[in-house]
Amino acid sequence: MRCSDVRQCRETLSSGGLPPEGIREVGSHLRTCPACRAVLLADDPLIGVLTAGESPETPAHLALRIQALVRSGRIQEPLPVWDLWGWWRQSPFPAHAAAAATLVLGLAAGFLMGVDSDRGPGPGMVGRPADPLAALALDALADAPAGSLTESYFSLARQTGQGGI
Amino acid sequence: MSERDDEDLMRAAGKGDAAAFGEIVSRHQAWAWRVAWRFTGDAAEAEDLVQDAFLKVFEAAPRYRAIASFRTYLHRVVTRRCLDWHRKKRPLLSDRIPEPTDPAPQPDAAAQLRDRERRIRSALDELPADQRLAVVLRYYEGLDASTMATAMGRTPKAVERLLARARKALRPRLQTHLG
Repeated sequence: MRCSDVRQCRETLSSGGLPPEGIREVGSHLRTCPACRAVLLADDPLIGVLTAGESPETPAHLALRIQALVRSGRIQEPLPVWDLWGWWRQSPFPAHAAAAATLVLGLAAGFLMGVDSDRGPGPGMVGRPADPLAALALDALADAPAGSLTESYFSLARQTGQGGI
Repeated sequence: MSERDDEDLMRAAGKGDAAAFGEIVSRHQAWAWRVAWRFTGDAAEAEDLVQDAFLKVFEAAPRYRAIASFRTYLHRVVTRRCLDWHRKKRPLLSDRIPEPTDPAPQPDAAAQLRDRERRIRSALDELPADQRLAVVLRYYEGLDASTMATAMGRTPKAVERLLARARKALRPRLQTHLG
């Protein structure tokens, strides 16, 4: 590279846009040409970093090392991810409408179920004493002999209407 | 057979195609290596940094969207890894560059070049990490303000301000060493 070529690169060096190969050529010229170095440094002192020399070659084993890690599974294998926002952006309008309708229906159903549960027990349930055997699923104790402790307990529970619970 | 573009390879890598990802690594490792080496000043650290950056790219491949070029995306990943590395390790390049054993003037031209290189590295190392990274991307890789802004997550004006601060800081040292 000649001095005139190097000096033409002044602006591109400072503002960017010169490819790395061109930059390396300018750098090697600047290392041996004090006149160009003085001109370019007066414009932009940071151009002086180019005289620091070449970077070493990329290590030959670097790509192999990365690929070996990927193939060995020592890093997390990429799995397809459910990308909701990406799906939304790429989907056509009918899919948006269907998703919105499903959401509205789901919310409405949930709201109605919530309202229904706030009403308390139905009319047939009010005032009926709870059966402790049914409530506690203690069918095996239904045949407790009269006078036994178990039978006395269930009698007492039925009288108080609390199911012994 | 036509060469597959980077975006196509990334889509394949996102589905677990290790060979496609290997092709991406082969294409872009030189750029990533140069930036990492210039930034850290240490070959072993640069290797780890580049490996880490590419593995991040592989892990993120299923979520990759070709909004911008893959090269722009890789710039961003590598610059982030550089800054993360700096935050964790706070390296001092000048610590790793051996001092000349003979403090007397060196007549040998090669020795003078080595000495100049050491001084420039030392001056660069004293810059804050974001300014140093901006210098590497602009002056060694030739990126323009817009590309640098995308890579560094800043505006083009902010990038130019970083470079202006770096110029101000380095002007006296570089002119002394190189004038």
